[in-house]
Amino acid sequence: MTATTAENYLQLDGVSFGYSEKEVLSDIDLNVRSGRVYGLIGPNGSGKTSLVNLLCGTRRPDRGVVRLLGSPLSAYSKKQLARHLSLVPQEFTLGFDYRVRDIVFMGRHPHIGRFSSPSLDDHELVNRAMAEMDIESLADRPVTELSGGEKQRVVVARALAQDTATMILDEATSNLDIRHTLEIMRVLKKRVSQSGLCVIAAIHDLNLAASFCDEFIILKNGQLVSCGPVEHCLNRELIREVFEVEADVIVDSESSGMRIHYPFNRTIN
Amino acid sequence: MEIRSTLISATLGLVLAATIVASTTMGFLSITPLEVLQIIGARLKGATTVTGIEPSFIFVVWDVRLPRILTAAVVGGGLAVAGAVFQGILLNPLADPYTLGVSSGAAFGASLALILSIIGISMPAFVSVPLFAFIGAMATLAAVFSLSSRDESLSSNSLILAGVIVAAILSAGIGFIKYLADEQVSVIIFWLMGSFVGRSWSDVLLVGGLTLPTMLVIFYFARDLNIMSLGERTADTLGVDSSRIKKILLLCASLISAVAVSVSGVIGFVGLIVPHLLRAILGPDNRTLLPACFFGGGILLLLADTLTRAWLPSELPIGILTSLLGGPFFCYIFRRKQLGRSS
Repeated sequence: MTATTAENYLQLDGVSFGYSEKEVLSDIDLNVRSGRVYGLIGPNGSGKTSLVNLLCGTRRPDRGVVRLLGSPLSAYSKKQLARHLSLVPQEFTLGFDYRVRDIVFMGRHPHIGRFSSPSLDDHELVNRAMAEMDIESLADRPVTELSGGEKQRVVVARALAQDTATMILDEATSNLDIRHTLEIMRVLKKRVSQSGLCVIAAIHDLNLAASFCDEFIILKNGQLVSCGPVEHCLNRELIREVFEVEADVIVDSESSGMRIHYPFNRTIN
Repeated sequence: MEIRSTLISATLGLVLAATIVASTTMGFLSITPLEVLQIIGARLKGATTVTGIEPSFIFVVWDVRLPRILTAAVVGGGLAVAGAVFQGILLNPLADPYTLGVSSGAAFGASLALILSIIGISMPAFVSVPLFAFIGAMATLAAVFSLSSRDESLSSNSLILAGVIVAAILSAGIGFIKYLADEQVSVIIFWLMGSFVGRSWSDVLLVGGLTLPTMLVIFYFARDLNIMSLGERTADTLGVDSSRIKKILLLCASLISAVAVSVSGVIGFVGLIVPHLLRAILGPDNRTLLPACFFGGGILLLLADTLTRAWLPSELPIGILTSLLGGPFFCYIFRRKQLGRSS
């Protein structure tokens, strides 16, 4: 595990980003620490996907800088970056029928030299990731034959096998049923508490986000509206401001978990 | 993994070598495999006569049949590897050197060289045709790149669309050149149909010298090509510089296609069928697939060429033969792909 306990694992300093004329993210400052689960929250078009792309280095900011362990992302090669950050995308397309184990093994790509063979460690991490996602029985199946839920577990297993200190989920569970969603989150939570994994997850479902995340990063129209522990951020006023809907935020007295209720007979004026 | 992959390549390599020897024995003169091997061994050592073998046999094997056979094998292998690379990059099992307009570009360049010599601007044909074909292929690739370059990551869809557009313009251009050629149009038509008739050792050197080193570059990126099948965004987060590697691999595959077109005319479908069949048997891992495609493509095109050379009563242009066999196969894959999508 390459996890660090250092504060400010990932850091955004005055980051702005846009496509041609239109600015998608403006002047974002953010600190992300390890061993926490961050929920990236905001309505459609608020800039969540752009922020994800900036965090994993597939896009460069127009202004400002994204730092990983104190150094700008641009100072890392793609391969170095891939040893720190992994991505679980929402869409998963494959033109060719690789077997499940081959796909999970691709997670080891940044760790294996061009002319070397996978080491025992590599096999070990792949087996562990497949066991955690409960896909060992699928190991030799062509991935094109799997159901949506099975495929997504393969993709998460691939990211787990990559063994990075940070994992970024871009709506990774929005096509899954609730059982598969919770299974994936349970495994990730375990890694967070056991090995200090940092998870940044763009999630649409506020209830799910509230139960899964430690902290929220809330975006609207490319601006950072709020950032901090879920219980501080999440309230009726914020939901009204950001999502433009009326909602009751109910705190469960026993578990102190939070629940959002959307009353249908009230609308905003 | 590596043992299996080496074993498959070695087996296919031996089959290719056996096919080369077997097809050398066939033709108007019947020559035994032993004689073929003796002649090859003697010529490789520099001897020009072999005791007990007629000098005309040596001429037929060494100067007539072998250059043609080796050219066919390398061209077939090169087209299959190029096809596999195009399919891997464009994530489309129907992609091959034609999809990107590369073959059309090469054909246009070669037609231009032929028409120039017809209207009197003469250059030696063995220089101008390959050169023009190559320039045509590379110019086409550049045009396709620049058409789709607004799209930063060179997405598959915009590349294929640009390829189709450019190819359509080029085939109109080829039609115009045919029209200009008037009564001498048969030279161009025969060349466009593809053929290995009368290939010499200089063709073998040209096609081998360019194809084999380029192929090594492609093999070097085989694992990256595997990762790139996960999509560009994911590949980037797995440490693969996909837009750079995409450019390098497209350039290499286009170079191989252009060289193939320049020595043998237009030969379709080898780049489509061979990778497709081998992928169904061996799986999609490019580290195994790409070398296997080289040998498999060589075997297939050599068999097809031997069929027209030694078995058919009169020689059929090889491009027509491969298209007659490959066309229906193309329809079959297309149908199966559509069925697969709707289910």
